[in-house]
Amino acid sequence: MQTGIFKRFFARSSIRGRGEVNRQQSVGGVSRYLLVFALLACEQPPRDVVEEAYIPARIWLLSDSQHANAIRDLLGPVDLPDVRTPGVTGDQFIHEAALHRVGGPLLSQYHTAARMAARQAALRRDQILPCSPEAIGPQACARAFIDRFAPRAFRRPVDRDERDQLMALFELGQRDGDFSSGIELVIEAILQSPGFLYRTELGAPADDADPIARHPAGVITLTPYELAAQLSFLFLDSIPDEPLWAAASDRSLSQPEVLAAHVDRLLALPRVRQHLGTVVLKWLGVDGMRMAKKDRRRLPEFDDELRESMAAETSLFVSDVLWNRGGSLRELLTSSRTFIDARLAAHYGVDSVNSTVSVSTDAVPVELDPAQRAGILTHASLLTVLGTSRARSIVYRGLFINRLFLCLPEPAPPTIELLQASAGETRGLSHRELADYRIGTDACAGCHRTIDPFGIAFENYDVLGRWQTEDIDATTSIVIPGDGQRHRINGLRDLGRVLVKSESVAACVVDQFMQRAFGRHLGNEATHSRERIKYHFLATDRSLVEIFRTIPDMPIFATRQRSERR
Amino acid sequence: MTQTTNRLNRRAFLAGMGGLALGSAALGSKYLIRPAGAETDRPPTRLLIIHKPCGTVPENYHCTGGERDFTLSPILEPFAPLRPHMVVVEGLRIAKRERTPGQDHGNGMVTFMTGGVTIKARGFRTVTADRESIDHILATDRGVGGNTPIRSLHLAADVRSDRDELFTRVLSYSGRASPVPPETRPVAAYTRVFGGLFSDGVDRATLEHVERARSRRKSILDFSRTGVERLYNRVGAAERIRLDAHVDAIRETERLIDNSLSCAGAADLTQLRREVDVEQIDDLHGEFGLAHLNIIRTAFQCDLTRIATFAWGPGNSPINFSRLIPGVENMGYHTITHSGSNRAHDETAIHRWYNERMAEFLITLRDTPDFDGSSLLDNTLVVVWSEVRLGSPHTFDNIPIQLFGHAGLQLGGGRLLRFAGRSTNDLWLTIANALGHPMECFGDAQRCKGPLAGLFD
Repeated sequence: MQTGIFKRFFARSSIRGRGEVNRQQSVGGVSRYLLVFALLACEQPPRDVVEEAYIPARIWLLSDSQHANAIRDLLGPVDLPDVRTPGVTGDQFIHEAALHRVGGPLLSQYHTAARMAARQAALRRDQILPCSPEAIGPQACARAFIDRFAPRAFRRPVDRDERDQLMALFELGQRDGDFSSGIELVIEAILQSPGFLYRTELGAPADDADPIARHPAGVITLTPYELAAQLSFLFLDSIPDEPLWAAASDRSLSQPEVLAAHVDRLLALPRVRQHLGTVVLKWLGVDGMRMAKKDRRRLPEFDDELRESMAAETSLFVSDVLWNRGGSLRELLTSSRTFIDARLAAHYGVDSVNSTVSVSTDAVPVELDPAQRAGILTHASLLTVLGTSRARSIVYRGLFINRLFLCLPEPAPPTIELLQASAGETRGLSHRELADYRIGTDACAGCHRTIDPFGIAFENYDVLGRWQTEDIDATTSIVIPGDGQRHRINGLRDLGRVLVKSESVAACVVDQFMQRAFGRHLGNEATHSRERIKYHFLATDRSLVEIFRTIPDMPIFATRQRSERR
Repeated sequence: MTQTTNRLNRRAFLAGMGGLALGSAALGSKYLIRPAGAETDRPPTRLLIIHKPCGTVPENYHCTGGERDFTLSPILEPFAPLRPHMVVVEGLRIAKRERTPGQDHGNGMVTFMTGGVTIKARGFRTVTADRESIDHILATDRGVGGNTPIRSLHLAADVRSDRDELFTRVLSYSGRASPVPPETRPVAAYTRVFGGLFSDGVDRATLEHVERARSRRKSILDFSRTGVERLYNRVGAAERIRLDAHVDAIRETERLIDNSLSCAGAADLTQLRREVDVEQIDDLHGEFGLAHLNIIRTAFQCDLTRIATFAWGPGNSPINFSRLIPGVENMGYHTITHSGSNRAHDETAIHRWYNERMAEFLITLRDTPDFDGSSLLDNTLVVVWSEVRLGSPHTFDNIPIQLFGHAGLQLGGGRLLRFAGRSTNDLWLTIANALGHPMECFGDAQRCKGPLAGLFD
């Protein structure tokens, strides 16, 4: 597995020449890193590289979208109630594995969904049955259905006990009604059973019996079925598709090159591309765009049409960056090539630039003035989400950069004593002057010196992301923690460039996507895998797509630590 | 305290087998059905914990005057009709410790509810609590929580937050790093509590249909239970805690199935079963809250649960009140508390608005008969609180707290009590003891000063 990634990486680099360019670009800060890494990669036999610790063997409840997608992949298009795991908000980027459990509220929702899905499926049973009950008899046909449906729902083979229980359910349902009622009850039971609801990362059951002999290091390897599910939930946000299922069934998925080929195949699927685009939008928080609220009296121009135009721009842009421009963070943060419609063109004040745009209700590709629009930070959608309901906020904008690109926790707001003490000095200051005060005053600077300079870089944009020039000073001095170097910048175009070049930012971005892939905070569990993904990320023009491509190749993907069973 | 008799009676509760029989023994009034889990002689005491976000406005909150002759402040004025049932508690501090993980609103919630601190548990991204919360302690004490179908019920009108942090949306913890988030949608809450077998209502079901549906549902639950057992044998301790919760939920469903005909009051709530457009969540904030509170009221009345929490929203609430309350600035509630241009006015209006809704609910609770004909409010202790004193800057001293309901607990109403230098942990200690749960201290034992004298008679 370890060799696979390097073969593929170097093959890609030489074809594109991109690896070369990048290595030259990153000579300064990265060269030593690369050298150490190259030694590590070349000299150490990859199979001997072990993590200090792996993620514990675990179960992981399906997310709400996975739950709905899985039901539809099993049964075809069905209407489903909007299942919402308590504690989860719709726009969350990371579905935490350790957190969610099936309490009373969720079990009730699963029941409603299963019942609704089963009822609809039974109404058009010919589409889900592999047989005709009239032709081969109801018992035989029910058994054939169970043998096909249950393993796919459980993402693993079912054993005899399970089949017998499901047959008993079929007979109970049939007794109260007819053949379809029996099938309906089977589907209803499967869709609210743990086999369907939990992803397992436990290895083969047979390994439980003799763990020490087989796994002296206390680690276990995921089964091919578990690997298929890992891949499918990561890329499809659903159960394994046909090719993955076939590769799990014949166990070939445990071979690194087969797994790698599936990753490449998945990354080319439109459905996967759309899903990963959504993942990036959730990461950016632009998903919250549709709920953003503005003061209607002060900002009457912010109507649903403008909201949709803003959302469409970012969605198309992200998709284009991911799938037509190599997924590069550089493109994401600095590119002026975007997609706007007439409404947004007017909003950006560029409706005279392009005659096609000025009349188009659909977003069309344009190249905007990079002095004003460069990268996703300059998108009206993001800027709108980051504002309050009527004003732009240096602090909110700065905190966003802290959180998303520097991985810094949000500090507590100031104490009452501090605010009271500074009230006299801050009265009457403009919001830019306030920021300078916070940066320059010892009592505030502890936090604000890492928040406000980043927020100041956004100053050219108003609360709805419009460019403004009067009395604006977006010059500021920033330090990216970890890199140490001080940068004088003016505006978001500069900020984007600094962020893109920073190794700390790269590490932070990789960490967040890995946390998403594994649904947890990663401490010492994946240090080696993380380093390798970071390396690959840096070497591929910081490609977000390559993070996803690389994750399944890492030791932590298929390996779990045996867990304590006290 | 004086709860010995009650506790003996609680131990003698009737087994919940008689859902159908009880349902048919309706004695002419739908309210006079003795619930399946209740004692023979008198109704049990229930506990409802209501969280209202973002503190208060001190100059418009604090009442002037003495213990019994105080003048209601503008913010508390909506509770005037409930004054005989209300105790205003002043001076208590949330014993939040220095430099704990996570932001203040969530910290206030965790420390108030658990007496403990926030933690970053291994493998977690989210901040959680280091121990179980008071509602869970009481719900798992059979002497307090009883053997009701639902051990405790957790609902919230809104959990949206302008921070992506779970612990600002959670009141209940079943243990270390084990948050129990609330259900937010009335339709889902209704279906869980009262739906039982009947997704289309309890009244239309015939006995035969009920029995068949019940048997099918139980077979499905049996299949789920063996599925959980299969996993249970293969996972570690942390996963087993979560699977235990799954088994609890299966048991809860089974108990609800057995009781589903005994709650006639649920029929009054059938209007809750419509889905509401999420876009309307701000405009329907009051309706959402009252819907949840009425689900809790009916669940209490039918003894489906005795412990409930309800949250109006997180401290980081984005609810925009400008269309609900004319004159309030057009921005999210949390934003108002930090950067509103007319903070005192707007926050006062919002607190009054919340209190008007709660007063409406408490009056309904007062007028709802318990199964022995007494007032449901008499047999319920309602604790209304906030996770901070001020929306900005966040402070944890002198938290605004009101208690409602009295006879069952000898909580003498119509009083204003000031406890300087004491913490909310001691309030829970006092309440736990009054409910019959033995407890020496709640929270940090070294700072515990014992029960609050004079709260209960």
